[in-house]
Amino acid sequence: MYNAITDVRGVWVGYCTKISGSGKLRVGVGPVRTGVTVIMPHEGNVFEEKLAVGHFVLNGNGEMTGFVRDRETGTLETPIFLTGTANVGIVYDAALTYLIQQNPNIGISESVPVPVVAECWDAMGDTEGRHITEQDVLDAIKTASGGPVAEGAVGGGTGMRSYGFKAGIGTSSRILPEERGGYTVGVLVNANHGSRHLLRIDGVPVGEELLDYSEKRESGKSKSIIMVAATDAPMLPVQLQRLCKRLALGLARTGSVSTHGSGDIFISFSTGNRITKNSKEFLCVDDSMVSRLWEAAVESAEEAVLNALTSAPTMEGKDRRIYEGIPLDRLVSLMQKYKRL
Amino acid sequence: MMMPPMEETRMDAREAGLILGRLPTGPLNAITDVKDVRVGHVTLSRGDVQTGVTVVLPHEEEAEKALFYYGCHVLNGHGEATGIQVLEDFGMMSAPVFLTNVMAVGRVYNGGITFGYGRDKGLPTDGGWPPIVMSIDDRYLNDLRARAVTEQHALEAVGKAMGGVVDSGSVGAGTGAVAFGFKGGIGTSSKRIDLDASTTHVGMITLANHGQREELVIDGVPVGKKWKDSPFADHKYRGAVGVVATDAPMSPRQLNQLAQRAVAGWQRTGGLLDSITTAMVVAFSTGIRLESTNEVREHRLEFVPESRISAFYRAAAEAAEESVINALFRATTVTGRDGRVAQAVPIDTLMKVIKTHK
Repeated sequence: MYNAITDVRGVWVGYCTKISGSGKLRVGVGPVRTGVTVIMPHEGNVFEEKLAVGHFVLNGNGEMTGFVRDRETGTLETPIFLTGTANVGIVYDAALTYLIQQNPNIGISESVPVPVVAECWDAMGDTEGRHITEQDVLDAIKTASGGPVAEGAVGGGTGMRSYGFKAGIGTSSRILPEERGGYTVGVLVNANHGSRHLLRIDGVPVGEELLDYSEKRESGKSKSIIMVAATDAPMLPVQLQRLCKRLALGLARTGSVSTHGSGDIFISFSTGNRITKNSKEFLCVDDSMVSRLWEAAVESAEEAVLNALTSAPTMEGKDRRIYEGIPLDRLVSLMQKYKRL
Repeated sequence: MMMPPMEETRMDAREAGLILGRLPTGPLNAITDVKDVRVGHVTLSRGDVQTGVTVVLPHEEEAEKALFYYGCHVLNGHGEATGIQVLEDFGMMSAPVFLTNVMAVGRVYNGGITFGYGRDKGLPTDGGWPPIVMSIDDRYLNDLRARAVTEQHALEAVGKAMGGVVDSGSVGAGTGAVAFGFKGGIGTSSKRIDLDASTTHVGMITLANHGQREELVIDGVPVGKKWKDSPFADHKYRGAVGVVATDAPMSPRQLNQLAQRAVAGWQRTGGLLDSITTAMVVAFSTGIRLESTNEVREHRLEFVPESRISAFYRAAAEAAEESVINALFRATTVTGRDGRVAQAVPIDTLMKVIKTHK
């Protein structure tokens, strides 16, 4: 409907974007190029009604908190937050504040949740200054809604670069035909990975063709992509783990080789079951259904990455470095040249 | 509630005459017997706030960019261990290991980030990142919701970290811990292994916040079942986290095994089987120090050969077992939130029970 993760009913996305200052890097001052994106897994209270979750770590040079708990229990019990590397502790702590506001017995008669916070290295701005506050995180949660999702240099994607171009948040979705279950798969990514020469779109070596375009601003050694998949197909954690691996295949279609310094960490959840302490019944799709869901996951993942690139305009970072958005006119003529358009 | 005794004599299990396992200990019988390992505590103990931070560092202060091999074992992951993706996927990092309460993870992590920037401005490109933070739920004695731990406490713990004698018992992250119905906390132990011409150690530090009274087993004696006459703290949010370190050169795979054996050692003393009981151990070796640079193409590594590795695995289990008992023997009675008390285990009575049984 919106070609977004929010096409999975009940999944909401919110964000806060922090952009201020320009010029030379001054730690604690700026320039500020960062933010937070939050994915609310369903419209209810996810700490009370948890969802099944799966993970896949393609390359581990990253952080996703909550991983150990969620892997152990197969459940997701908090929203998912995407931000810059240095902000993880602050966002984690703020997430806890939000969860306590929503569930006043946390730490008293209820267990203490482990928030899911995943990072990429947004080195376009003053990372060390950690310009995200608890209030920013709470504000991001307040903006969460269904419907169209802002992409590119917004929220947690504000300071991200991918394939030598400005990038950030991208999303996409696929809906299976009714005879295949009518399920929806939605993917949202925070793209900060890859070198220019690797970029391929629909098989076209776009990166090679654009090697001469502007000054390449690579991500440095630390390149990462966090991918989040949601589906309304009811699935067990083991099935969601399998789905997560397919996100890597979608990523690979865009040319990524998942470099050593990359934190390529994927998480997927299903809204098909609400899991409480006393849940006994669990609905899951038959494995004969999953291949089409994998296809949907691969396609959504691929398109979400490309949307992150095509949505992000040129932005100036610290020390007046320009991070070019991918030139859409050049992209169109390239696709024509290779007879894709 | 009983009032805590005015004065409590605390000592390690060995000083009380309890010799666990068969391997000799290191000179301090502490994780700091492992070369270069440093431990720091910040203790917050005032009324309803009974908590803190403990940090274990794998390196000396000047080791800015050194990387070490790590491993881990999760018996029950119902809890948090940050940094786990790097740890599991690379098996190589340089992270400080922080232990704290479950509600302080974000703030301590943020302290770890500040510490990381201090080591390396390119934060995620080198040794300063990611911090490992593991936690326990100390709500029996501690007002978790006061959220008393700050980023600053994490940095203070790092600042205080040193080798030598390790404070244990009701200190650092163990301040509000309860184990087997008694006061729990930080415990440590080490074992010495002579590897050819060199002396090496396996050291363990445990944050013991696990076990129900009737589960407690010491040196094979089911002392928990025999105990009748003391008040017990009925702590429902149990868990143990710990670090096993060695200065013997080990690969990430061997270190995973070492961590697994440490958990096996924990289990000799009972507990850790409930669904929400956290139980995980991080392992690292200071025996190999790498610097990942573009100038180096290959590393020639020397690991403990498989023919010699069993002794180390045994050492991990024995040090882990002894560290739990040392946590109990070292912990002092603490009165915490709402006047709740966790009594220090009465060592004399306990030793009598053990001797009677033997």
